[in-house]
Amino acid sequence: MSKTILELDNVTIRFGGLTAVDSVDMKVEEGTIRALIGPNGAGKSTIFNLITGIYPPTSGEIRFLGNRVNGLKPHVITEMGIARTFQNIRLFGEMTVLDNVKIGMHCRTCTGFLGALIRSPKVKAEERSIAEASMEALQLMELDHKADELAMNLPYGEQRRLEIARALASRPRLILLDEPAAGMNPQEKQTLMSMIRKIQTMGLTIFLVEHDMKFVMNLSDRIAVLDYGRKIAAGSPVEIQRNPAVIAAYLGKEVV
Amino acid sequence: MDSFFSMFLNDYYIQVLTMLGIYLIGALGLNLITGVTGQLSFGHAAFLSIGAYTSAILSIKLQMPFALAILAGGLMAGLWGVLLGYPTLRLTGDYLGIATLGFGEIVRVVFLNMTITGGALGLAGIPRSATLTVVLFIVILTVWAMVRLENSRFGRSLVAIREDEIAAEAMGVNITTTKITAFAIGTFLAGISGGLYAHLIQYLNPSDFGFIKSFEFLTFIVLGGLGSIPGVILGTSVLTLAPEFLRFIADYRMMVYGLLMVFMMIVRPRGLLGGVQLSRIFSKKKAQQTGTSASGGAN
Repeated sequence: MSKTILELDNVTIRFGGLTAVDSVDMKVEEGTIRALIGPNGAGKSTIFNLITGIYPPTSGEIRFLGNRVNGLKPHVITEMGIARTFQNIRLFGEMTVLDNVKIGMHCRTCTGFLGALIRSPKVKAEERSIAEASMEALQLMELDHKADELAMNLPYGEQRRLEIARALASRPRLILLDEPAAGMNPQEKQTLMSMIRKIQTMGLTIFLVEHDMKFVMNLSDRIAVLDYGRKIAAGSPVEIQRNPAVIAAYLGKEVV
Repeated sequence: MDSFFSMFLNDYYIQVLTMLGIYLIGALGLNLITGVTGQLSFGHAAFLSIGAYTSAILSIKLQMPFALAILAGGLMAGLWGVLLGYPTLRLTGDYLGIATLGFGEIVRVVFLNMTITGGALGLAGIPRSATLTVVLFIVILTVWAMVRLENSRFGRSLVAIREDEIAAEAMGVNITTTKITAFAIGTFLAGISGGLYAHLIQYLNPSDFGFIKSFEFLTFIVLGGLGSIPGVILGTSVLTLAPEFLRFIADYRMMVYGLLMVFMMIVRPRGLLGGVQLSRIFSKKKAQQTGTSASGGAN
């Protein structure tokens, strides 16, 4: 049994009268691919927003590598080693593809504005290492030939991959992918799947939200199912496909 | 070097060009806040006035050397920039605009009612120390600094905040401190600009630093192209020099000026040089070279 990297302990968040996530418990093992599925509005993206510190949970605790992260600011959580992509792509559109990835390196580098003015050899060396590491991340997602284009000019599928490259540049141990395959054609999905497997072999843990069942079933080691903010099932892809509660949530109950 | 300029230019042109330089420094400061970082500020003139009054009072009352007085004016404006920025930079877009507008009015009214500033009578007797040479030197220094910032880790984080604050934060950018730093640098430059203005015009009046002045600075950078350094230089130059060159049409001067602005915004809504960056002009050339070799390889 491998080490637990992320743990959600009885996490709840309420927006006014709406309980978006209701007492969810979850454990993600290091080095695995974990999927979170559920009907629209089940609270999947909200769980990602809770883990990355965009919302603080109303109650419960989130632990990353044993350290409590709820209440910390998003940039601190990123520094601890959690990176993410967004469901509705959030790239820096007017920046080049390469500069987008360079921002991912922000928390692993240190030059401030005075350093930028003085531009000492140390700063130049750092700037070179940022450029090199960013190009590596782009190569991994097969985007290196587009490095100088503006991010907003990329086709949709490449924008999704650029988000992953940007997240990888922050050297995370856990990467959260929010619907990475949305809007991709079958071929692009196939490529993406092999890329995600490659990321896994690099020692990263992957936690993804996805609607494409074929994609999820092929890729994930374990799946958790969310419905109306509650976790209704968890298990291997085979177990989930047979689980009556999951079938009911997706297809509705049979009326006898 | 001033005698060198006066060989070619008469006093009138020297005055106009010095003024242009002073406005450029302030406009580059506002560009960092609004153009690069995307934080709308309607109170830029207030920071100019803080720098102007601080340096003028230090010059008159303490006979402080010119360079020190200017620097002190810039630091004072930067300090107030941080003090204002800390509570207000959590606001976004229009809300921040309104907050900075309010601050601008407060500063104007405070200067109007202080005794040390001369109140509504204004502050006169400031030594005329801001020569074209000095201003030109500071302009070059400022442009150099801005270009360096643009291509740095810090500069990238500013643009990232403008493009998408949530994503920037998720990528590890501490948006509060980054925004405040940008605000501090931008208001520092406004203070420097104001100090030079005081030492050129030799007379200060709070009414010179009202909302209209803040708005003028915004039009400089919007017309040139938000976030573009060459754009700011062009926009500021056009809008500072146009009223001077339009003097021959006397009464219709401001009308033509207004028409010019409407026309330019229709033709180039993103500003004259919107999206143009010095660094990108160079990297594009490189990209074209590597691009052709890459496509050759694909065939």
